[in-house]
Amino acid sequence: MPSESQALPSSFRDPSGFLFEREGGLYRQVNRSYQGDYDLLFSSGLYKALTERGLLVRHDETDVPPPDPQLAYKILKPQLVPFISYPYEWCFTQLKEAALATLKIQKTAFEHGMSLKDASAFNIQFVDGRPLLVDTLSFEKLQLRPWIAYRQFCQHFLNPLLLIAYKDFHLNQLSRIFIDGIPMGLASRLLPFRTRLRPGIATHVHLHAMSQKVFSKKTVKVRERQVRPVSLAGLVESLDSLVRKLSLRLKKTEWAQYYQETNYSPEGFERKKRIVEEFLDIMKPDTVWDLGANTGIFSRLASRKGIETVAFDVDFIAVEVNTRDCLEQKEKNLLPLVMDLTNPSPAIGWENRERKSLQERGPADAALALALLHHLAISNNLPLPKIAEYLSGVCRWLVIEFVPKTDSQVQRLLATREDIFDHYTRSDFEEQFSRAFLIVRIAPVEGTERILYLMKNRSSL
Amino acid sequence: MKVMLRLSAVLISVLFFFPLCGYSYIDLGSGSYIIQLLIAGFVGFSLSLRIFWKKIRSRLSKKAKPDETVDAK
Repeated sequence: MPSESQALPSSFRDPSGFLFEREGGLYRQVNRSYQGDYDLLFSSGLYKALTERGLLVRHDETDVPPPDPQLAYKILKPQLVPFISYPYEWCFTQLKEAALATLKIQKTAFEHGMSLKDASAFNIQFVDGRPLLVDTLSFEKLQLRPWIAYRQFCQHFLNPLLLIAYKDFHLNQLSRIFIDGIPMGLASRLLPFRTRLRPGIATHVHLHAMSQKVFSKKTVKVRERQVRPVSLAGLVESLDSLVRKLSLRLKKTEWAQYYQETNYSPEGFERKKRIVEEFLDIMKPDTVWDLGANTGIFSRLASRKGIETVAFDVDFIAVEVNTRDCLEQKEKNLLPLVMDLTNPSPAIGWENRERKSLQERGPADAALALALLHHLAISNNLPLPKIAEYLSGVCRWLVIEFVPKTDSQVQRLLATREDIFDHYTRSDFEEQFSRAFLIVRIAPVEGTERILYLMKNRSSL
Repeated sequence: MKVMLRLSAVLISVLFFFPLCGYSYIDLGSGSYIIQLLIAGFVGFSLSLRIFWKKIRSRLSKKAKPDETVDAK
């Protein structure tokens, strides 16, 4: 008998079904135990309502043989997500959008006599710039009892949002350590005292944490308890109102500096853009990873050609600026994400296989590494062969900028430290990268000392 | 400490009247269950009041309308 061993490593918690891959395609098995709720999703009109509003992933029912026929009710072929991202890679606005989408889905589910049975941030993905629920099996028939996913919503969404808004945006990284969301007690202890004076936070976080502490060691008898629909709706409204009011406040100057990053003339900047566009036309990639994208100016050269582009940057605020721009301009093919390339997202969860590492989510057809090399090599002491080796593992084509030591940006990095980087030269760079890549084009950026290279991964030749 | 004791008393009394039920593949947890019942009860009550108040207002305005037409005639 085929077993669920064919299920994806991330798909094992919910007994309603599981995801599996076959011949390069992604499928979802719906188990017989979920038949009633699955049918209700359609007969209630909820699937139609949510997919029309772009809140739930679309799927087709297929005849693909199920991996576990004894359990199977249906096999679905879901719409594919171009790039799977995780909550610890999102900025504040993305997390807030994902939280509000989850609450909107729950409100719509109520209207159709159903409810979310989980509220995991990992079930939300960004597609066409909007948050989308990708787990079709997250719904159950509405029963008048407490919302089972309430604690999960608080831990996955509310706590990180509050910690970013009231304490420090770096605390979003706690979601990487606590895979089932930031614990209530920890969030309550970390939040400043003034949050205890805000009724929404006082109840959903501080009293919630206190209540968990009081009842943590108590055994409670199980018996049904009804909750009125108006109370369930009120709970969701209360969370929605709290999340909606949260904002990430920064001084104007902190925002402004992200628009004045370069040390060369507007003409030089335009020339660099033209070269990158020319390289994109040669590569014709379907997917681009912009590594060290800042606010995404160069990422947009790719995304506006209809290429699925992910704009990574270590700077949370740069990603926040990029995301707000994407929302304002309704960008569809650009996904900004927080990523420290010197410590990229690892594989985490059960058996270290539930959530993929960055590298496992690649390779991209092309990577842009503009004004990045000197930060990796000089600020982070990474030897050139190691950088070349890593980049060859994440892309088929590479556009990389070499910034010589004489450039003022490199001089700034060297100003406070000893220059131990004898091998940081153009010739060494070309020699080391030529081992993993074939250099296809070399284009000096006129008016600057910088040089752009178009390279093809030797393993793709 | 006093606050904790008071909260415990309230929560335990709530627990006595509304015991916990278990039914899904994720665990809500006793503490989350109790606080949710309290919040849901409170916001549900205020939402009911708002709906009730709206209904009264709309009934009063409906009653007021025919009088206005009589006056107009």
